[in-house]
Formats: sequence, C-alpha cells, structure tokens
Amino acid sequence: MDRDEKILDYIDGLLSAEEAEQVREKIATDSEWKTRYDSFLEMNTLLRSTELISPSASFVDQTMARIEAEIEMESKSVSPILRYFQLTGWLWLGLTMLFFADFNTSVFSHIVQQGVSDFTIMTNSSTHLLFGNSAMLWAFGVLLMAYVAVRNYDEDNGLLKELLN
Amino acid sequence: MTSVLKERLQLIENIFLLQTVTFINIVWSNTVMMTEAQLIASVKEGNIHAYRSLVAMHQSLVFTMVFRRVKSREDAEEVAQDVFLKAYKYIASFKGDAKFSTWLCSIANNSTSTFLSKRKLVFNALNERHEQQEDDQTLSSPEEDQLRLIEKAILKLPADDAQIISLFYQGEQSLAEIAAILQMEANAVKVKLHRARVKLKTTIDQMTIQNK
Repeated sequence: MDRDEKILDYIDGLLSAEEAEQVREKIATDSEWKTRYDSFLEMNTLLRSTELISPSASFVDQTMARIEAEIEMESKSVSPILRYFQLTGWLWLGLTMLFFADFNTSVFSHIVQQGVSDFTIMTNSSTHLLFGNSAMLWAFGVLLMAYVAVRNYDEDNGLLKELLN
Repeated sequence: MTSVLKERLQLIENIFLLQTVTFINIVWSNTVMMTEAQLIASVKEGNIHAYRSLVAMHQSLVFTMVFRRVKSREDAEEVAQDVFLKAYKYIASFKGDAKFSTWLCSIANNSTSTFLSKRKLVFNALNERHEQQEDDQTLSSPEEDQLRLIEKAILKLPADDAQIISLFYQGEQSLAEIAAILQMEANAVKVKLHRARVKLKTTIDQMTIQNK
C-alpha cells in the first residue's frame, strides 16, 4: 500500500487501529505526509459538499408523461401472434369463402360429383364456374384487399420481421 | 324563515368545506409523509402518483450518474428517463435487499452502457468552452470557485473515474454498494476509487497552477 492509499484509507476510516496509529504518527512527524494529508482532506471535504447535478425543471413531468404513455400503449397493444391473426382475418375469411365457393360452384365440385370422365365436357361448358361466380369474385376481391393491407402494414411496422425474429 | 334557511345552508356549507379541507389534508399528509419504502409499496400496488415522488427524490442522483459517463445533458436526460421507465416496469422485482438508490444506480449503469455502445459519443468541446465562458463571467465566492473547480476537474476525469467518485461522494454509496452497481469486486472498487482520487487531486493541482 503506497502513501496516498494509506492516507486516503485513513481519511475514510478503513484502517485498523494499529495502522491508523502508524499513519497518524507519520503525519505528525513527516512534513510531506502532512502536506499530502491536508490536501486530500481538503479535497475530500470539498467533494462531500459538491451537489448532484440537477436535470431540467421539467424532468419529472416529462418522465411521468413517458411512463403514462407507455402504460397506455401497453394496455392497447396485443401480442404479435394475435395481431397477425387480426390483420390476416380478411385473408382467412377470404380463403374460407374461396374454398366453399369453389367447392359448390367450380369445376372441382363437378369433378367430385360427376366423375373424372366428364371433366373435358364440363370444362368446355362451364368455364364460368371457374371465375364467373359472384361469390368467387367477391372472395378474390377480399383476398386482394387482405394482401394489400398486410403488405402496407408490414411496410409500416416491420410486422413480418417481428414475427420472424 | 328565509334567514333561518340561509343560516342552515351556511352551516351545511361550512361543514362541507371543513370536511373537504380535512380530507385534502389527510390525502396530502399521506402523500407527503410517506417514506421511501411506503412509496415503493404504493407503486407496486399500482399507484403511479407515488412514483412521481420517487422520481423527484432520485432524479439528480440518476441524472448525475448518467451524465458522468454520457457527458451531454440532453442525452443524459433521455437515458435517465429510460432508467426511471425501466425501474417502474420492474419495480415488482425490487425486494428491498439493497437501497432503492443503489438499485436505480445499477439500472442507470446498465442503461448508460447500452446507450454508449449504441452511440459512440464524443465529448462536446464546444459546449464545454461555452459553459466555461459563462462561468468565467459570473461573480462568485471563493467557496463557490473551489466547488466549480472540483466540478470541472471531475469533468476532465475519464468517465469511469468520474462515475465512481460521484457514486461515493455525491451518491453516498458505500464501497460494497458501488461494487454491486458496477458489478465488480469491492476490493477492485476500492483500488479504482483510490486511483480516481489521486488523478482528481493531480487534475485539481494542475488546474490551480493554470488559473494562477
């Protein structure tokens, strides 16, 4: 332990009684120790009297506003998975409609109902069943809307990135 | 008849006023007289208003801790706000084993490290010069001059040394508490504090010679 460290420990009261006595003696007899001790003691007193730095006057208000905003946001926010299903609700609805529309009106249902042998005749005579049905068109429209909505949302918020991460 | 009615109305009004004042006094004294532990308990129960008092109590300590390393008031305020936001979120995990100020300082230390790793900050020498000019223009007592000299000397220290000195002297944290905050051994903290003080002394001596 060097001189400065001993002096500082003595000031802080970290030395044993025996060590403290030795330092006290050194300070009393050695002028260099005395000078060093006095200057450290002065610095210590000054440091103890320095005050903490204050932030701006509006700090508490700003902090509380941030906390309140965060609480409000958290109460409104839902989990990414739930948000994903909320956003793609249109997509799932569209897919379901497409499935039923397709099953009831399209070539697929005719194939199921009338057999593969009639396929050629059916496709020739009922092309409208593939695309012409109003439910089908509506379903395609919904699908398109859902795609655009998800894409826009993804561009704004990086939802897919969040989901993938 | 009307005068009697008026008197009674006045009486009711007075009673109502008295009760309101008493109620406000009780609420006010409860808020003001609450100890730190009571405030923390109240925040844990969901009382956000109690947290305002905690922020007001510890704002300077947290701000100083952050400012010592970030060395920019604006950034320090931003980080200090983050610290209080995090502390509010995780206050349930504060068990009271350490002082609340120690817990806050450890959050401040981590948040500052994260902030500094995200953004490499360069000390704004221009601001310092500006502040120095402002300081030079003001008249002050010798004691104030000395305190200002100390503050400037602390600013000149490396960020870690400045932080440890502030924690010890201004934050009134013990060596063990500083060790917990900085996630270091208490002995290492002691050595670091010792070196920081010797450096500070040297800086003060140099600045005193320059001023003369």
